[in-house]
Amino acid sequence: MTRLQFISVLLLIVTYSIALGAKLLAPADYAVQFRETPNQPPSAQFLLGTDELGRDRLSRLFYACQTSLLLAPAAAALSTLLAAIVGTAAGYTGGWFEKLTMAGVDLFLSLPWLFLIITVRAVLPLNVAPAISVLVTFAILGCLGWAASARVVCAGVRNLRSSGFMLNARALGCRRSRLLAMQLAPNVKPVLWAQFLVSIPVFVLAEANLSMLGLGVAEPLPSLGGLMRELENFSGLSAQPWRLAPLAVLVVCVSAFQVLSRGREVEA
Amino acid sequence: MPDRAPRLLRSICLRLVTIAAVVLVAGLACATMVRFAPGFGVDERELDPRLSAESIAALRSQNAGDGNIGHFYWHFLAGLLHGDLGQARTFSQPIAQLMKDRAPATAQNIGYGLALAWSITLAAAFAAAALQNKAAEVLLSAASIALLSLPAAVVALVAVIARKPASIAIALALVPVLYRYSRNVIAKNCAEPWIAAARARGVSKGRILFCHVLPGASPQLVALAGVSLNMAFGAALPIEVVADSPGLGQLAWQAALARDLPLLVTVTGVVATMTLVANACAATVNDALRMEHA
Repeated sequence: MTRLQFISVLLLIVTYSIALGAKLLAPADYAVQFRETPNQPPSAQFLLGTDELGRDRLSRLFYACQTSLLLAPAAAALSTLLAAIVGTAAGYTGGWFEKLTMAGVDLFLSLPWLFLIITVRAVLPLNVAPAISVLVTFAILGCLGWAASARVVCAGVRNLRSSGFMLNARALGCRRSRLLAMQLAPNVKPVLWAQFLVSIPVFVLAEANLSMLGLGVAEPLPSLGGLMRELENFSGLSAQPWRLAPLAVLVVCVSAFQVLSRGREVEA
Repeated sequence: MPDRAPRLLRSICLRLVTIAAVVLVAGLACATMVRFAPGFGVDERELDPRLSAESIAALRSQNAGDGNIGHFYWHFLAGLLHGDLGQARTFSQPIAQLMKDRAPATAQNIGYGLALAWSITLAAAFAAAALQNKAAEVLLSAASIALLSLPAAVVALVAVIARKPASIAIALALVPVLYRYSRNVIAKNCAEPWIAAARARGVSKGRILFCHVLPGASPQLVALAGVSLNMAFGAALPIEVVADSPGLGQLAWQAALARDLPLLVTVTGVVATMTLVANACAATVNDALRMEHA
């Protein structure tokens, strides 16, 4: 592990600890409004000030980390699972099935992703409960983000299919299920792990874009993208730099994931 | 090779047929999505208390035709063949007209954005390959990671604050992705044995890059150029919204917020067709290059 990767892991441990312990660490609930103190600058009571509804920015940031940084890996896990199923089936079967599946994957990849996401999102009702909006947003990301990973998994499985140890196992009469579980799966794991890590920052950014456009996580539930909607009113930004805190957290986390995923990609 | 032209023609025809089939299937899928979306066939005007029972009944009978799936598909395809993309409920205008009005802004944003992004990418990738300097490499990688970590909407905000056009924001959103792939492709080609041989024979750096590395990397770069249109459309959506540029991205967003599904799926379908055509063009150029080298 390089020094940069070590720092990235440390940063992610700190952020994830905050996200997991948001309920304990946050000074207030994310929805509590201190109506007598809206738009407050940082103070001893509100370390990052309050928003225009009088909600504590620091508490909302902690909960936003929980929403964005815990559900993005869940979406990445879903998309990696789909990619593993499609990629393994295509790569292991080979022949016309692989060609047909990969043609479908290529077509899927050539569709404009964000347009597709907002189309699927708009088909579903927009005025749903905040908790459901979170699940819907990340489920859509997970269900639509598998194609690129499936291509990589398929290539990996195709190479393994004709490798010496697989031929050996097949010649020894190893059953297909055992071949898949005991021989193929452990060797595909690094590829899947790399794809999982690559997908997380993509989904964090996609959620941020969607929420900034008002099509992601619904209020009052905070997400990093949702908190960044405040930046659209950029007139007083230089006088209130603490409003940039969600962006800073997002950049740090996504950069850390980028550093780790590049390392994993090289290893895989 | 004498049979190069027919083979190329065959591959072009095959790609055109594939695109037509995909557009047809995608069109039907879009129509299905619209047909089964919650609230389909319900007119908001039915809630208007000023309307009489007869008017509401007339509105319902007007929408009843769309309720039959076969009828709906037939009308959808027949309209598609005649260039009639339907009516946008939000804007009370024909979708084709709306798209005609909005397309120039997107074409300009994406055209300038892609040109700028590719200029910066190729300059940076070739500079990194030519310099072979660790510090420059680290600096470019750090800049690429930093830009990759910003949502396109935030890049657009920065462009708006700096009073720069949306095309600059699109270029900034594309550069890190394009640089990452281009740099990998060029670095891989630089490590080939014939490049080491050329270097050993004292061939100049510029000549090695442009006469030996670039031709080897061109198939992947051409493929990336095809994909970059897709990326540009993806970046254009949030950027046009934040930068208030009246293009197709902004139109799709307005349609999504208003749940104007016929408009949204049509815009998505047209954008998808354009990206499919761009990918097919890139693949055809690659076929031609491969045949040239064979």
